[in-house]
Amino acid sequence: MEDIALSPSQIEFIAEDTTITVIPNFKMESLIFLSGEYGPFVPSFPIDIPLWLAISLKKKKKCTITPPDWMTYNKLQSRYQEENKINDGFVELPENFIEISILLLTNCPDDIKDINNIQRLIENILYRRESKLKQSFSNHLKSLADDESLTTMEFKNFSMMEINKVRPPFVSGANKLYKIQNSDSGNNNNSQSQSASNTSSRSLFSKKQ
Amino acid sequence: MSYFDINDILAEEQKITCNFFYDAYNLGQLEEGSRDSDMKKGSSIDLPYWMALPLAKSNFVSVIMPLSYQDEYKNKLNTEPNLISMRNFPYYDKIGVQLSDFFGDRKLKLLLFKAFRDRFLDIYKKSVNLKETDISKILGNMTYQEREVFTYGYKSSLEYDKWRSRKGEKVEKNTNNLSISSSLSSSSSNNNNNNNNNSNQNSSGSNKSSQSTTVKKRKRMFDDE
Amino acid sequence: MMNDEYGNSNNNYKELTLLDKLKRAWINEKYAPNLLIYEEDIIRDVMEKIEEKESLCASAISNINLQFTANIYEMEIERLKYIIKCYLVERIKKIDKYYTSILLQIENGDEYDDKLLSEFEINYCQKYKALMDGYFKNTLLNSIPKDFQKMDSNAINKPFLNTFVFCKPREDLGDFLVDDETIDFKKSSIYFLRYLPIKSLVEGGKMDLI
Repeated sequence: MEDIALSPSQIEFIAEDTTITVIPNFKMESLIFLSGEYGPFVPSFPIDIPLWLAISLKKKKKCTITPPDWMTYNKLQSRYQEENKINDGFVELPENFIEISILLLTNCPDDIKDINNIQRLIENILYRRESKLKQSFSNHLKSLADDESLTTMEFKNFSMMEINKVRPPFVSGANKLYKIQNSDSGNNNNSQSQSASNTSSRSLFSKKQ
Repeated sequence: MSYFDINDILAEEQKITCNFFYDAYNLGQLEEGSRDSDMKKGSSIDLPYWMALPLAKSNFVSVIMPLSYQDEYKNKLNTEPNLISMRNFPYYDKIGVQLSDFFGDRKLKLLLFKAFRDRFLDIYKKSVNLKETDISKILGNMTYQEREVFTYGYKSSLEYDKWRSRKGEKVEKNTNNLSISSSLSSSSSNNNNNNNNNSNQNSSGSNKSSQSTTVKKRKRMFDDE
Repeated sequence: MMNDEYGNSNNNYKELTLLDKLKRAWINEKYAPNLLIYEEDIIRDVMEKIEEKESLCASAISNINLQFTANIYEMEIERLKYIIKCYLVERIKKIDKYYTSILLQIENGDEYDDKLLSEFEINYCQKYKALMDGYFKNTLLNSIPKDFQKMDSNAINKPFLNTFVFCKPREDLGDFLVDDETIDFKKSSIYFLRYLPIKSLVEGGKMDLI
């Protein structure tokens, strides 16, 4: 399995480099990380720092975390409504929204207003997105002519965790279908005529612009 | 087909009925119940694909498509791909593709593609929806390749759920078991094992988060490496 | 001197930070079926920074006031080391699997292929091949008839370059021909397609696997 995908905790690890606003209660000079300079830290002055540091400071009770704008009840509510409205695509959310929301919900529940509603909304959004994904994937496969090779799929606003979750079955399934169609390429004699070319990429998950 | 893949090798054990065009000396032993040391011209015997292939290529034998790839079975597969059990044909897709090249049966390949595309969709959906059910029965009806797809989907969604409920291990703890041997052994375990839902992940262990360690302690850790 | 490699987070246009580059190197290596060029510059730069910071932290041991800051830097160092380890392990896994074809690629390739492995990796790869060849000989090949002793040229593990991958262009790339389709690669989209047609884009740093 780990040969195909990263583990969810590795995806989370990567997301922890996202910056987030905190309000420190201590004084400290600027920190210089490989990702940039953060600080100086002044009590009660909001500052953007990487999420991993924010969580660590929070655990030591040295700051409060300000949840990102998209994670407020109103914003999520409207995202959810929009997600329900559109059928062939995802609404825009940060590419690590699943990891970030989980990290914040578990590590700083006291800093999140309306936490139960937010939790529920995120659940709903995820559920809706997952069923849309399944539907479009199956539409895509079914739309292929009988001798047509698996064409490129285009996605918009597909988050990292979602990609990683579907990666193992998608990749192994698609590879096997590919091998069925192209089995004789190994025997040199590539007489197989490619199916009629179709010039437009199937834009499954892009919004019509 | 890959040289080192045991499943590719096993798939080629598929029996093919061969009719000998010539007398074959010293091959009598291949014929069941024959006391003759030679095989007579016109004898008909079942040989594994890997043996039938070179014989047929050199025009020593004529070959007959196995029953499971003939019309009756193909029709079933065509009309109701998801209802067919592959219990007795774990390499149906894999060797079927070889056979379609071997026999120049392009239609067979198209059918295999279509059937496995439909089955794949079904398998994918099942793999992410069926949790905490006994999956061994479902796996039994799939070909070896399909089991792989299913297991990938199944494990992936279990791992995700575990992470969502914060039971998965944290990355920081992984750092030290990142040895190559462990990653190799685990990669070989993803083959058709049934109920292996990765329960060996250590969810216990002291929850020492890295920030509580002091500089001194950390220094010592580096020296160990 | 330090400023130019650090992105400005207030700005919309973000220069890639060293951390971003390191993470990309890891993720691309993770998902590419073939071994990619060893990212010598990135690894060297990151290792330098780590050493700098480690000595900084070591000097802070005696000073109570600096311990808190030192602890934070220690955390950053741990994270960086984790990524480097993942990156190197990913490469070693591929070397173990494809050692023969990798050595062939270096032997027959151009300058580009010369940089495929780090010095340590070349050494490792050659030793590994010698061990494996010796092992096959001693356990099996020596005891079968001479005609069969030579390893078939098919008996080489090669990466499956036609595997499907998820990828994301670093910038709008315009139209590309992928098999029979023309695809307008856009920065804002994610694509699920075979690796081979985009291999050169990934190797050329125009496309990232995700």
